[in-house]
Amino acid sequence: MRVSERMLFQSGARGLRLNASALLKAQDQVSSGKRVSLASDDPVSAKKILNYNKMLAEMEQHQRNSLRAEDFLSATDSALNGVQDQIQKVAARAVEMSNPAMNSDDRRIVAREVQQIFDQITTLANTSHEGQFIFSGNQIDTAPFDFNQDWQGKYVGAVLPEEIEIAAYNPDEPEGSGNDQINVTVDGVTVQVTLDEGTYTGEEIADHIQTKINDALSENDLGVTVLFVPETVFFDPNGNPGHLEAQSNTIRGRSSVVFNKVVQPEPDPLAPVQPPALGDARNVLGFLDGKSQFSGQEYLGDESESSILISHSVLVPKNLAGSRVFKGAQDGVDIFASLLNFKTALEMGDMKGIQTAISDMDKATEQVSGERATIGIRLVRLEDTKNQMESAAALVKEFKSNEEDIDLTEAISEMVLKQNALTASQSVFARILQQPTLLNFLQ
Amino acid sequence: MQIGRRGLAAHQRAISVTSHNIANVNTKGYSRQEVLFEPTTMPVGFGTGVQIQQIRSVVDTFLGGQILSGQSSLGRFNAEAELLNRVEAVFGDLNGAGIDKEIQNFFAALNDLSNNPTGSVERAIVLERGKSLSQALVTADGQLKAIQQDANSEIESRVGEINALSTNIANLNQSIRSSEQIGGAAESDLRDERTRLLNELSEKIGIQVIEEDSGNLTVITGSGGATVALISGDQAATLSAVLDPDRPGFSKIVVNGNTDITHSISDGRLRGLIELRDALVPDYRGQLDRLAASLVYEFNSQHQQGFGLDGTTETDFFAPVLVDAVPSRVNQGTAKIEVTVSPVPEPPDPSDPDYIAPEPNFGSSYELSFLDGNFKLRNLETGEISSPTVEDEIIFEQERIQINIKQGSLVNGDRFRISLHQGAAGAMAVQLSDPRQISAASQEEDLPGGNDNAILLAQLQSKQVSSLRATFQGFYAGLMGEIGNRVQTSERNLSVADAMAGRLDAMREEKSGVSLDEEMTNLISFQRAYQASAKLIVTADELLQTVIGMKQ
Repeated sequence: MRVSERMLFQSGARGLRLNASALLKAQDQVSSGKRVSLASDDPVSAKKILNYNKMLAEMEQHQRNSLRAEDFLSATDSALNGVQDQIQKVAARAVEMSNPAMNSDDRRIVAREVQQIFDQITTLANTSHEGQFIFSGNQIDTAPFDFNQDWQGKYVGAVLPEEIEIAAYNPDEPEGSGNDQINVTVDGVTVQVTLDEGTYTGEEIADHIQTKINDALSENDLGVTVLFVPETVFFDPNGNPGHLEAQSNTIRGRSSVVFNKVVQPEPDPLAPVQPPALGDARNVLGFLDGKSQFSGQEYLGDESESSILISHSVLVPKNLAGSRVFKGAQDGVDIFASLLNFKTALEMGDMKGIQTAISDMDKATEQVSGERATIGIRLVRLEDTKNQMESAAALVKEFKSNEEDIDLTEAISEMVLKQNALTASQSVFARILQQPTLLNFLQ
Repeated sequence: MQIGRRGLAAHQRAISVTSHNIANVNTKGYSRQEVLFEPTTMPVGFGTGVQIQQIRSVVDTFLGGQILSGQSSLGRFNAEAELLNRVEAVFGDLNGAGIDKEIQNFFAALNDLSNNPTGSVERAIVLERGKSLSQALVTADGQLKAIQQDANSEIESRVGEINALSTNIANLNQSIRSSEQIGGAAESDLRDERTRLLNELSEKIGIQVIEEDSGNLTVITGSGGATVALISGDQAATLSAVLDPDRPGFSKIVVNGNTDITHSISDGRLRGLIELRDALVPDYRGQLDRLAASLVYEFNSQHQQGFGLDGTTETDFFAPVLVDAVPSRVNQGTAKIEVTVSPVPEPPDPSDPDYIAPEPNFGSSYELSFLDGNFKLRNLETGEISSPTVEDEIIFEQERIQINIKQGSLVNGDRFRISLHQGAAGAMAVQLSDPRQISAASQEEDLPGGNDNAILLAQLQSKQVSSLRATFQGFYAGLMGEIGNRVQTSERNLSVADAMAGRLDAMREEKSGVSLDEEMTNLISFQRAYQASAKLIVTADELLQTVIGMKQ
């Protein structure tokens, strides 16, 4: 083989160039710790790495979702815990009060306590988490229960016996028993009507009350409809003449229709409770036989349950609708109504009502515990998924690292090898440069 | 005495050839020259000394051809690797930024929205992430386009260089032929120069060289049936870059003003540039377009089904897919046609639970023709032909294509090319401006807390999209892998071509390169021969002196 001068130099230079670029690559890998930093370093790995990145980011996001849900569920659980405590307190009071030895003063004090508990539970039901009401379904910007001191329960009517007897009105004893006078306020106009003495059926009393009220209101161009819905009397204060059909069968609070101011003044908590006499207009208004009917609080939210995404396709429901928890929408107990009924029973000394309250509170406790169990199961599920995901993420990270990261020992030894190769070619090249030619010997 | 004189002359000449060799020890492409001596004889049969039979270059002609093609590959893969490295840099996701990351962030924002559908921060972030995702696709598309444009302008400037080289070679052809005709001897140095220029030319454009015995050289380029003579003897053809009507903004290469050789150039830097500009980058851009079009379509379809906080529904989140149909160049009509994805058709039998509505096929190309007052749509891959199903609006329900004639009129026989995804990446944008209108709830009654639609939108991240046959990110990872593969292949090709070129150069050097040792040896041997010849003359002189002296 002939060897020309240029061959020697070119092959030397080429060797230097290749070894230097190999060393640079090895150095890059060691200093970045990554084997693949461009797709062309290893296209198959690059594709896998992107996929692992996606999986990791999704898991991270799902964990984030889980955490948000956990916060929410914990807030729900602590609210329910509070509710349960309050209900247990009421249950204990109900048992105490069922003792016939208790006098009306004791009952009045407890009645005030029950009112406070009612307020307390309303506050708990209106708990918000991060500015959102947790018991409103999807109506997260509406408080599920309207917390208003003037309006702590909605009267939906009284259970009437088949026939009702109304005694003659005694003007000498307007605040006493035996009068059948009611005050009605409609659109700011207050009238007083006196019911006629007599015996009425449900339809008849409704009709009679309506006639009386409308007679009194006729000069103001106002009117109400009083319907007898089986076992219940309804008043419609909004029934303007001509719009009598458009009534809703609810009465929006004492602020618009005021009943019975005369016969039922704001109770003096320490005054002795008079058992209602038969024929008292109060019977019409709900206290007959202790079967007064309160709706409790009106639920203003909706029944929706929103969910969160905890993995690709797994959804975990997040919220509990207040209607279910507090109103017993699913064959449960209306906690607010039970409390109001209990309070009234206490005020009236209605032992049957107190007995009902004991069983109501038992059911309410069960109801709230049931909901708490639901929350607990959801939390466990979140926790399980989170743990599962954590171990999966660790595994994916390992896979990713296998594809992406260098084995440092291997990479460093590789780098040293490359370095040696470069040093070797440098020294060979230096030798070539110093290699004597024939010229050296031709002196 | 005459023998000595011839010896002196011949060796003096040999020494000058050797000096020429030594002087050119570092000249690239230089072929060493060799002196061939031959004895001179008298007709009667005894020798009369030496003369130089020939001074020749030591060249391996077979190797010359290989070196040319080696240079061509080197040029081609150099161009390809340089530009592909730039393409790869557009997809920098492995270093933590890029389209994949943007898709991820966008869907993460939707997940957050589903956790808090009334959150104004969450909503604003969804909008912003949508914008930066759009921006990322627009930018990537723009960068790819810039690479195409750079390739194009390099093509244009290389054409000038090729013309200059061709002219020089043609001139050299002439010089070589005429001087060889006069002198009768091979013009080694001119030939070396020509070889050097040919090497340079072949690095830019793939060529084949045919050398006739007369010294005439023909250079042809192109492949298959489309070959063109670039240089024929002393005539050089002129290449020019002219605007290509089929590729707006890009040039095609024509020879002598008429023959288009753009896609028949088989090798060299030009081939690399053209392939990148017309095949590789358009393919990658097309795939980005498909990704963008299906992302826009899938997301908008789901978004339309939900309700914004303000009760709005059927709103588009991204600006909907809208493309211009490309009219055929032979169209006589002036119509400009816009194409959109048509609404989901009503199922033929509403009670059929198995009915699946047709999906638009991003990635397919169609030809729309207007014949005898009717529109026909032909799928260019399958050849299937269909007619509009809703006549008055020109909707092809199965293809989900809706035609809208923007302006102008149609003439019988007009044709248009339609690809629903064409240009979608470059045109991607968020249309929604009010974050309250992001539809997180799937029913109006669920407002404001409803998050069902937000969850469905977030779940699109893991949906196998029919027109991509993958998830969005899966498709993108595939594209990235494909580009990585291509870069790797081209780098491998480049290093093979580089090694090959080095090897061929070494082989050439082995045969034609100058070895100083050898030249020194020759120099000494010629010097000795020269000295001996001189001695011969002195000896002859002395002999003569002796003879003359005898007389005295």
